[in-house]
Amino acid sequence: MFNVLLVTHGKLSEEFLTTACMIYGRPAGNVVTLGFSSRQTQEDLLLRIKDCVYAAADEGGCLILCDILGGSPFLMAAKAYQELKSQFLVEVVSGLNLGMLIEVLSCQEDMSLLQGKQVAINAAKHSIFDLADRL
Amino acid sequence: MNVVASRVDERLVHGQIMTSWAKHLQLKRIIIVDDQVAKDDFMMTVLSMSAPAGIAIEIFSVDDAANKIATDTSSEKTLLLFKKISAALKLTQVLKGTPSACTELNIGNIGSVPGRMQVTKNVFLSSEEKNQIKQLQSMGVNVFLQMLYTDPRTSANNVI
Repeated sequence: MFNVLLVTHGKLSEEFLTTACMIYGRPAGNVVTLGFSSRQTQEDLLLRIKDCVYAAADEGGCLILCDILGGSPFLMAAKAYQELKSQFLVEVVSGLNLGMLIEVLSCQEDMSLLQGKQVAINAAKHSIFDLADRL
Repeated sequence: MNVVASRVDERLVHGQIMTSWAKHLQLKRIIIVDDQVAKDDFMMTVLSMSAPAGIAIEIFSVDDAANKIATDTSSEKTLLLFKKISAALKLTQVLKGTPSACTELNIGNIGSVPGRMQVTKNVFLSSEEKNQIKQLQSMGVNVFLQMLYTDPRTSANNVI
């Protein structure tokens, strides 16, 4: 069991969750979304991410999924990871896509944080597919 | 050093920089100039791992950047990226009168914190920062605001 935190630019995280629920159904575990707008500061985002990591302490840890490598959501998740990893269970993966999220939701209740992280990475990797190449 | 643009962006190397500007400016290198980041090994590692393919990221304190700019003879198209206007001002002061003097600065993105007033959709400035912009202008730097490459340039005169 672990908590899932989606951190993205704009409203992408909310939409990812809404759309994933449309396909997968209501997630059994805790899923929190954080959007980052150009009006906010990175420091503010960092505080909100850290709050989610604290809140996941008794839930098996926090799997943070970010939209793009190097974006503010990823940079602040990386910072939170660096600051909290010695005391809290937290993992960060970038490259969030819908396939990744659905796979993660489907294993959230039965797997550990580290297993869930692996599911996320594998799902995303396998979701990139060149149709012409396979025909 | 072949500096093709200078930009203040609180978020440093983020999606926008990496895609639209890098492509438009045909960047080969991004130099981050920030005293704090230059002391933070972890953030330096994370920022470097976020570099898009074909673009090198280097991180320097203001003083080290001034040195690097004055001595680097590479023709690689380089973007100077600042987190704070104060760092751009300090660098401009150090390089003033040299062949590498700064000529223009794009204020791309500065977020909302107490003490700052909103001047455009993506830029919030304190009175201290407005003053720093005036000092840059007095040294001959063309200061403008342009978030995305596709946005029009707004002169800093319209917001300070």
